[in-house]
Amino acid sequence: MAPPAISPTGGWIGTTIFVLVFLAALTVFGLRAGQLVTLLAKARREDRTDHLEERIGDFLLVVLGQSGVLRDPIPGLAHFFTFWGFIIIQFGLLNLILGAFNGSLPLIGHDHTFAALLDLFVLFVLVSLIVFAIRRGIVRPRQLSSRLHGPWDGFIILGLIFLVLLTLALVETFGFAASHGEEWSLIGSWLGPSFYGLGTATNVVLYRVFWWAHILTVLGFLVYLPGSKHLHLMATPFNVFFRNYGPRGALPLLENLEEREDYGVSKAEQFTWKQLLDGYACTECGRCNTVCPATNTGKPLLPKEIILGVKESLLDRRHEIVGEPNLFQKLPLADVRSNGHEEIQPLVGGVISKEALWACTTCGACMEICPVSIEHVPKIVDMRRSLVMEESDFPPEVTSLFNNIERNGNPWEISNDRRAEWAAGLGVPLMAENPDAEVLYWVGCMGSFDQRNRKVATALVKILKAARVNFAILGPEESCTGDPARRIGNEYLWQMMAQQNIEVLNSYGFNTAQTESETAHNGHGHNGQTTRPRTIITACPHCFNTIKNEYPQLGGHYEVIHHSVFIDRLIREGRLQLPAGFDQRKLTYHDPCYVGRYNGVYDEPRRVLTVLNSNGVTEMRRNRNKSFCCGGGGGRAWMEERLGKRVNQTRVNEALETEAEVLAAACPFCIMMFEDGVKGVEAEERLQVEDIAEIVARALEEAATPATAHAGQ
Amino acid sequence: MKIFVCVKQIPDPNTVESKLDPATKRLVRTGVSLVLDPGDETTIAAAIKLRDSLGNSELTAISMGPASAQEALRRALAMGVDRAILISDPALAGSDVLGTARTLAAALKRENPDLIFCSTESTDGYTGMVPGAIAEFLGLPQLTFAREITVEGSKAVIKRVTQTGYEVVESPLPAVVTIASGSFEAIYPTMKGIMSARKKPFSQLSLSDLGLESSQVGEAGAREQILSIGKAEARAAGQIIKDEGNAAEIIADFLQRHQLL
Ligand SMILES: Cc1cc2nc3c(=O)[nH]c(=O)nc-3n(C[C@H](O)[C@H](O)[C@H](O)COP(=O)(O)OP(=O)(O)OC[C@H]3O[C@@H](n4cnc5c(N)ncnc54)[C@H](O)[C@@H]3O)c2cc1C
Ligand code: SF4
Ligand code: SF4
Repeated sequence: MAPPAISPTGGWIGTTIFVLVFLAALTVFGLRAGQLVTLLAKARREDRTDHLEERIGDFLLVVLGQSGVLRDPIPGLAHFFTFWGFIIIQFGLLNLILGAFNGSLPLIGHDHTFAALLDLFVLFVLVSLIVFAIRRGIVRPRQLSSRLHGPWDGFIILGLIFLVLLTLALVETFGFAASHGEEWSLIGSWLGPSFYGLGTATNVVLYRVFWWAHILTVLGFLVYLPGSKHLHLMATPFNVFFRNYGPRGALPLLENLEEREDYGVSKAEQFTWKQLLDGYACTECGRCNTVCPATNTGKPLLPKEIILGVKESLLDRRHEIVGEPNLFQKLPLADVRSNGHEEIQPLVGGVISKEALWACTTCGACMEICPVSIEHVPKIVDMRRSLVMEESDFPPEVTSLFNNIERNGNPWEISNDRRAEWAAGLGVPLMAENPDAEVLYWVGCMGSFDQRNRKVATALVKILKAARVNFAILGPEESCTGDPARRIGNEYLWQMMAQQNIEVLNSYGFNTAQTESETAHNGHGHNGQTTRPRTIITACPHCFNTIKNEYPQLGGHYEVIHHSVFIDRLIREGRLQLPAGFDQRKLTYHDPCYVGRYNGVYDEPRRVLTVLNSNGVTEMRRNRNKSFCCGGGGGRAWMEERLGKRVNQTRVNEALETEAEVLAAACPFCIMMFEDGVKGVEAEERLQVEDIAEIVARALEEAATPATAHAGQ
Repeated sequence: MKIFVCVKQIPDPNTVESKLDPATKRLVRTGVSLVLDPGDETTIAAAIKLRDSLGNSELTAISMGPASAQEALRRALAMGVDRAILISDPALAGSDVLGTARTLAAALKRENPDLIFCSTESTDGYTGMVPGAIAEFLGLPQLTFAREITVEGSKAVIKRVTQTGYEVVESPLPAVVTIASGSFEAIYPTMKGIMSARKKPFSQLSLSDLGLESSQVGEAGAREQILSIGKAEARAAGQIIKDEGNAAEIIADFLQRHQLL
């Protein structure tokens, strides 16, 4: 705690003033930040303390290692150095503050290595600042524009950081000059000597002036922060720490439907604290906008504006939420809102338009790319829930979808009794006829009723038979899983369908959390001990995801596998012999959102295709976790696409860019959307849309009849 | 105001293939999935809209049918109807239009309604005669084919659908009004609606509650008799016009021949 060479405050009067100013700034900051915390405390509860060890590990990686932003290398590196520079500069600042009390930081306070490191970072940060300024002022990526904070917030922040650094450099320069090198620093040693001519007395005054300027800028920054987008500096670490560690494909369960007061979110404070923290943590980088299929095709949805809209609405309503305004709350946070409208708008249909909510395909691309783990889709669905279940306000074509699912157990006006008709003559047993089947093939509504996808179901049956899998289907005992209803916001209908299906699946002993005595069908030749968990396979990623990740919320735990994974397994176990290099057409593969991003299945389908095709898969520009949605998710397949370009055509065009002849798909909705898209861009001659199962089944068939194997080649 | 809407439960027209029982010569209504008539759903929407615009009004749904018709009335309550009445009695089985209307009229009379909504016709029987018969039994004026309805003072004013547009027709209250199909969008029930439907007043009436004799209704009171039933002629195959440069002409001719142009 060696004293500084020159006292920056010049004695106790200066130090007292400093303490008062410092405390005042801290108080204002505390009150402003306190308002933000109070708002979170008033929000809904939610437990985010599971997986503690992983949370801590990831926290270190993402916050200290900056692994999130580094995915975009140039601005990422700039951000990396700004972040670490700031941490180091905080120590420098502390050192300067201690100077007011005639002290310094132990160990590093007078250490030249630290001083040099500090200045190196100052230089790094200055370079970074230039990169940021160029990006913001000259390149101006559209995603950086901010409705909430106006164009100036970004520049004010850059300006403040610049001022902090400038004043720091000047403090060091004149500290060096005034102390003739005793107060050593890298920058000081470069610039200081040129000011020796001013005389020590003047240099001491200038040193003190810039010390004050530096301290005041820093305090100003602190006070400005809570109302700025750079609030994320404080909120991001928490947001990363508290991010979702549950299955990604599961929407939160709406509990206690019978006795709730509200169904979904129509007011900001109905979100959980974590959903609201998302708003504080948003860095407004706009990466989510750049990947959103809705934004990219001219729909009125910008995922960033959803996050900021929730934040805006929360801050707009803070007096209503916290109660009687007192001094504490009167403190302005007004700079948060720059759009100027006076009366408070409702969250849904005001700050956030209904059209924006209906445009989302729940593809998850926004959540995948967000560097600070913000959760867009649960918020969008929460607001849809309110529209559907509280207001009965949704696109009119959805009414018949809901009625049909509820009455007929499928999305169409077809009696569910006809669910197994597609399999007539294929020799497919019903579960009721073969209750000991090892594998249940969950056909789904598309595979059961849609003409195009019945072909996929038929192909999959051929594969299962070729591999001698002991399987069965449920037929009329199977109903819609409820997935489209849930994602459109009809949680009630989803729960109804899920319960019904869980009952059926449990009755055949598929529940892995169930004991033998609980299964109703154990009379069917079960000798009382075969409790080996049995597998459900399905060609529909939406059925797959909801049964696997969401049915557990209602007690249904199953081993569910997507057919692409199952086929890959059959090949690797040697149960399925495929003629290697059979199919030489150039092909590309589209990752369905609910197989890829939501469930991490990327390699298996590619492996299957590569066995068949020695040329492998020609990847589209956006592939794997960056795959671009077909436009059919989130219930969008059941709604009209009234605005902008067509999502399916946009993706089909990407497939055409690869010059592939085949667009391999692994989802009935993707197939439907793409076939439609191929027609739309008039590429029927050039591009075929085929399910993986169809490609495999054809190979099996032709391998079995070698005479014709090369006829078509 | 006391507003009523007459609704009926029918075999789901979207999934159930109508079958006639050769013995009774009537529609098979058991063992099939039953729903609130989709036409009545839109009539309920019209009635709710009027109730909400008037304020201080009560909307009651009334149905005659077997016990299962409760479900249809629950749906009506979930959509936003305030109260439901089910008239159910074994003696009512086999009622024709006359018996149905007599029963409904008797129940309505006890309630002193200001306005009674019906659909123009049901989706299963579609005789379209029940509303007129109710009006007759109650001695009330009837406004038909309404696509819009308002209440001005003590009269009801409707826009009545015609072939070329609409007529504005008014009548003093009380009155019976039938809603033209396709004029309103059915309401999909909200959760509040579904939950509160369980608690809303629901009364069930039998013949004796209405002071009717079993000889006046049901099989016994039926004046209609179904003499025979037969298959409708299969629809002739349509004509496919292949465009060889003159498709527009052929289509225009066709439309003219059928006086559609
Ligand atoms: C001999 C005979 C026996 C019959 N037996 C039976 C039987 O046992 N069970 C049976 O269900 N049908 C039976 N019917 C059919 C029955 O007569 C008609 O369903 C009934 O009269 C309604 O006629 P509709 O469907 O043509 O109604 P429409 O006149 O087309 O209906 C117009 C509107 O009137 C109202 N309405 C009609 N019926 C009712 C009702 N029941 N409750 C409330 N509002 C109503 C609704 O608003 C409806 O939209 C029988 C018919 C005959 C000829
Ligand atoms: S889930 Fe997909 S469609 Fe929805 S906001 Fe995110 S990126 Fe856009
Ligand atoms: S939500 Fe995430 S990706 Fe989108 S602007 Fe905010 S921080 Fe960036």
